[in-house]
Amino acid sequence: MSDLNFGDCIGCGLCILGCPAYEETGFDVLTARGRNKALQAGLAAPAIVESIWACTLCGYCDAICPSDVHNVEIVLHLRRELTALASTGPVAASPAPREGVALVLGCTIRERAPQLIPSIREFLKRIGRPSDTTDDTCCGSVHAEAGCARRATAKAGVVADPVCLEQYDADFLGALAMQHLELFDLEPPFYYYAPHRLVNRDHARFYPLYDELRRRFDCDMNIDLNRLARSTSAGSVQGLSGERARDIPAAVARLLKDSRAERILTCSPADYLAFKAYSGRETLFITECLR
Amino acid sequence: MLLRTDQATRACYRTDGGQIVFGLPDSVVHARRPEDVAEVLRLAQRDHIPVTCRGGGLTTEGESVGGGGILLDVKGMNRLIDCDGATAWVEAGMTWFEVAAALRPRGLDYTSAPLNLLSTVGGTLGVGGIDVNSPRHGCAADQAVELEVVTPTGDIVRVKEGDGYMERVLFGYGQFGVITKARIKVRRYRPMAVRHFLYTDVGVALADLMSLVEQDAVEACAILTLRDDVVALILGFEEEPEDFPLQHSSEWRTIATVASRVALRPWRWRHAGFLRRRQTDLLPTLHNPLFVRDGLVQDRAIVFSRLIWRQWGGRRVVIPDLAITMANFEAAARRGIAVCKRYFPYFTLYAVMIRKFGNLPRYEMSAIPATGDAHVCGIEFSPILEGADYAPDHYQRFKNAIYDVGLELGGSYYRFGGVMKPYIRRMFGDEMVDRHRAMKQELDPAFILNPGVVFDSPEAA
Repeated sequence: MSDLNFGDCIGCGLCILGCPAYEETGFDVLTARGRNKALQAGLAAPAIVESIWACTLCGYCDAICPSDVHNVEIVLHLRRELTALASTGPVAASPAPREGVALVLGCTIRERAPQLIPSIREFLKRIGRPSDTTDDTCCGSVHAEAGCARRATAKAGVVADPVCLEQYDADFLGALAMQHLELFDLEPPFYYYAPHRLVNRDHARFYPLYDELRRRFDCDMNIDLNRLARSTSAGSVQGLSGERARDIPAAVARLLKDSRAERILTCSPADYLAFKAYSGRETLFITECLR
Repeated sequence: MLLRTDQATRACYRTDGGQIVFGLPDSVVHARRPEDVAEVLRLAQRDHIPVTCRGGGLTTEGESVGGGGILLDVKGMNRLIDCDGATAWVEAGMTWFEVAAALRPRGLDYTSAPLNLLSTVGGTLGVGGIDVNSPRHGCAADQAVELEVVTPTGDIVRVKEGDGYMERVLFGYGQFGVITKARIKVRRYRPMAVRHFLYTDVGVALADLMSLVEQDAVEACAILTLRDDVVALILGFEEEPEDFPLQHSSEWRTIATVASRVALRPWRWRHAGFLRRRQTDLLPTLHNPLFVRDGLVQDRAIVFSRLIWRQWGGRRVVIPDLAITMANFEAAARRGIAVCKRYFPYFTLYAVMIRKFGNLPRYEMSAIPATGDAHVCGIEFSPILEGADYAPDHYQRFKNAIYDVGLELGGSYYRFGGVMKPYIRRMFGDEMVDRHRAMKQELDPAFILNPGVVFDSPEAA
């Protein structure tokens, strides 16, 4: 724990502003500030289990923290600790990212939204990127999130799901789309859901792309006054069903509260499914908007 | 209402923004509705259980830290209920960030609020709330035109401007009731052009600040210093920036002056390093391209809050302040600087002016000192610790020394509760304190609401 800098947390509460766990519950204890204060008070992982599992790893807290506390790393470390404490036998080998494929679709697209695959391939073809070889197994990102494995990195061409991008050194499909906006039919008004983890965790690389989209089309977005991305919590382990699940319909409603746009676009597969299921508005994956 | 008693939840509230006072509540209540607050206060009144009310938790003297009893977290009451374009009726657990975010789609902004953005509306109205535009608009508390308040005995009441109870609750330091809703003035959202001017003498900068404020020449203005070596007058314009006859120095002249002061004094070379580090840290925050478009700051509140947290945030937040009349502004600054130098190598001053609206009853025993002037002045003196830490006693002696300056010059303080409470009677006098305490006693017979923060509870008294 000594290299985890929870002791640097000054308790300002900036992290709470965009914390999905806080938005849903109103409990400080489930936020980065709450966890850090509990750790500063000497509590160990077993005393803050609820807080450790409430985090969706959206990265808002890391991006906004004025003390540069590494909140996501702290949560992942604590999850690994809890997993180690709970394990009674040998841990099964975790899935790993497949090296060298041209297109990483990810489990969500492969299993829950295969209808998107033709338009993804068509987009890549138009921009001259290959999509001949694709992944066929889990990249392991969910296992890494759940504390069952450490993160791995493999090289690939293009990754279609921001969740998988954490396991790959590759280009992101959504970012490529932002660089080729002329290929899409983007008639305002629309709401664009930017992939929150990428915007928050790699702000310098991804935020400008979505900011440009917003300026160009004056679209509503899940970007707040801090220029950080709010999340639906879909695409995290808390997006799955079960006792740790977040209330995704409520999160979708919060995000759309002030938007009258009838059409929702996104380049995040899990969020695409969330909006499609719960928004009651037309929802399209970005490649479905190809001219 | 949600009650939590688990160790982790209680630990979240063990300290406040100052991180100097520690204490664990026995339980935490997350209020969602005014009725929740009323129920807690009725039970507490009946069973003599202390209730510490908490919003953003950004007090610095332990005012929102509860040692035992119930910690009443009101942040869950955070909806904008309605907005008519001139005022907004908001739940008082909203942070100012949430207020700004809710108003923006309507093309509106709040009028005046603390720069940290994380204080809640209710907590702010209870202490005042100072913004860089307070010279023109006054405190945040002066933006409230109507309140819903839960009395310490659990009645939910609505009060409007001119009502005596409203005058007690505003600037009341949470002693006379829990604000659960507020109708606050709002205004059109406008981006702001921000300019800064450098000085090497704090007195000259303060004179320029006072002159600009008396002319009502700018939308926003404040002074921020690095030690007393570099003094920046920061001005915000919502209209086209104007030129004023200021007595500032050019950047090169400022650098040359500081260099000449340091060059032949090797023991001060480290100060030059400090100034350089801070300059490279602070200026990009003010001009962060994320928030600037066409030369205008799009979200001044976000930009200033980032500046605040980078400048003042730390493992200890030590911000003694002086609320002072214009006549004593410069003397307070110079004497406070001398105190800072005795205790810390690096420090900063944040100086502002605040418009007051006559002699409203709410100003009595508050951070607005009695004066016939149209404005009062405030200065915060903050050590910049740069990773160093000192014994708690060192910080306390520093704060006392600053507050002693206030006693000598007359005036008031913004942070006079919590561990600074011993200064209350010395500053305001027994008659005024006893009178306010009697009002508290009448409204809060069991003395359960935020006990000990401002007034001694009956047993201690």
